[in-house]
Amino acid sequence: MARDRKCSQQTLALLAVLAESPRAWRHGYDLSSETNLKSGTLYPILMRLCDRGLLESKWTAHERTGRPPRHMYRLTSHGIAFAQEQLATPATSLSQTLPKGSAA
Amino acid sequence: MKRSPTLQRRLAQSLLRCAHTLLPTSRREWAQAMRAELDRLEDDREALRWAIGCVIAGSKERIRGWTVMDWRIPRWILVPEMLLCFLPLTLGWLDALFGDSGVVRLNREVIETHFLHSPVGVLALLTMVAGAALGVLGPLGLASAFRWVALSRPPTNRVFRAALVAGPTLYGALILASRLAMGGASGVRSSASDSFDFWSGLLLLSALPALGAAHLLHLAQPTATNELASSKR
Repeated sequence: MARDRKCSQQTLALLAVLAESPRAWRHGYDLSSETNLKSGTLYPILMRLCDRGLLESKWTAHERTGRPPRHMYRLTSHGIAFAQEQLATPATSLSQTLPKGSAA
Repeated sequence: MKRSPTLQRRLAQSLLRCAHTLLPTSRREWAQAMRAELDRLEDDREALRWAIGCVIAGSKERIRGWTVMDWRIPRWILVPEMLLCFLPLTLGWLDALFGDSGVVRLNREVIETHFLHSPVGVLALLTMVAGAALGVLGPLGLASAFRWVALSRPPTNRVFRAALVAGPTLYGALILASRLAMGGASGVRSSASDSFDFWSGLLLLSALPALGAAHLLHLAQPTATNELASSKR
């Protein structure tokens, strides 16, 4: 459920990356690399987005045995609409949402 | 030959275990997600950085759990809590039914002599009957709680769910009204001679069962995370 509250810059950065190809499933580390968000910032945001029904997740088994399945994420239809709404606000441009570096 | 993990890798793995412990139970799936990513990182330094971040994420979630209470507790803690909340009401109910002044001992003569002569007496009688009727929610609440703990079957009947909270609340309101009618405002003050008995009775027979029932019903509700996890199974 989307709230009216304004998202943080880090959340907007994540939404921007996820909204680039909304139907594609992404790994946590890929998202971290693309957004420059450290895992300490990324995972709480992912949890929050999942709780709000904006993000869906699934486990995918790796072709190589012995490795645990990975958790993958993509925006739900609500999430896509929410991302578009948040990223379209005048104060937010995509360049603003991508931090140069972020504290863990 | 398989190379033994470096110190940095071992440290990263230890930190991931720490993050797993830090995360609230409802978030443990996320620890597995973090661990899976760690296993993909070839560079040990990067793995260590990743693990440190995961500990920070776990700490944030733990702290958030303290500040935004979701009232979720392990089931083994729920057992004594439910006993504390519903056992006094159960015992009170048995006393209200079969005790020395229980409703089963009431007869027309006793009612007419001791209760019907004044509105206060009628209210006292009403409170006694309400204790006998609403007190049944004590054993029912206990049974319902243990059914949920043992079998994960929450109470689903809407009327019963509402009664579990509203019943003890109503009983408490009646006890309070009866006390006020009999003793006036001074009867509920702490200076009253039996104020401890009165307030502890109100706590044990009304407030705790109502709060316990509210907590039980809250726990039985599916959370977004649980729904998400169960949809994946």
